[in-house]
Amino acid sequence: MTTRGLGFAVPLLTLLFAAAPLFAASSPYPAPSSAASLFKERPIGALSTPTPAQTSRPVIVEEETKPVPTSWKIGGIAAGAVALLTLLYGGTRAWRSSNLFDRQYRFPTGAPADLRLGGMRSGGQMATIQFGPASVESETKDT
Amino acid sequence: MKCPACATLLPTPVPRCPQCKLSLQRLDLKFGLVPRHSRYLSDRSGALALPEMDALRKDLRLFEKKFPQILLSVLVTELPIGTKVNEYSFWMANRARFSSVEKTQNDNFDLLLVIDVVSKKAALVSGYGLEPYVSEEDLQDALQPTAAPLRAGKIADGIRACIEALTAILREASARAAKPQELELAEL
Repeated sequence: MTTRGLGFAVPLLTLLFAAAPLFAASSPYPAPSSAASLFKERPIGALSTPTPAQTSRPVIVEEETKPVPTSWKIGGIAAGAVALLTLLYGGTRAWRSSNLFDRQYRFPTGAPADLRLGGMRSGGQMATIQFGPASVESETKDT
Repeated sequence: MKCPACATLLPTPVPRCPQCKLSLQRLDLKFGLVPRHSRYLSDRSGALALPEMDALRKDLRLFEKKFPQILLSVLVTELPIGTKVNEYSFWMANRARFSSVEKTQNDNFDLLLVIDVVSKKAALVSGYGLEPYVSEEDLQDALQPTAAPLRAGKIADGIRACIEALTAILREASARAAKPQELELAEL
């Protein structure tokens, strides 16, 4: 290429680069861009319905604060104490009667007993007492 | 051991008393059917009030908890005049089923307290199972504290006194019975 040719080509290229945006805007094809994804995300599980917005104003009732009478307080405490003591008393009695922590006493079974007088359960080992004056008739028949 | 009827000593096991010919079969003929009774306390005299009976039953249950092998039954009765409480107690201890049927011979650790409000006599009978551990003297000691309350007409208090005395005596007897076993185990 000659020097004359170079001198012509450089301004032409500069002109083309400068006018490139103009050519691009007027292009019949859309510019390449990232397309929207075909996959749509859906949450797993039941969809919760949104809480409806409160439309009416909340009613605020202003309670009258009355002081509790002292006699009521004393009565309540006394009733509670009585109930507690009753429970404690009942529990103690049940505990004592259940004999939970008391020891149990056992006897080893001995040799087979010699049966007496035909008795299979008892051979007549016993003790007797007289705790009062027997009637005259009874005394007479006993002797 | 003595005959419940004539108090003759019975040195050997005998089917009937050599002196008075007493046997359980003879007593069956004498007393007939076994009267209604309950496991712990039976009052055929009406001498005990219901609350007293409830309280005594609780005491007797507690006694059984302490001594699981032993059933202490109490019978308050009005025997016909002339009936010996010794004979009746011996007969009831064998014929009435206060505990289970299997509790016979040396498996029978039962105790029966009979109080006759007519003859003013009380008897305490033990089963064969208790004989090696509780003597007739022990039974007498257990019965003695009941005399004063019973004399005063306080039958419930008398029964309670007997339960307390028996508890103390049986505790000692149980400790005595356990000692030889512990020695045997120690030797092994």
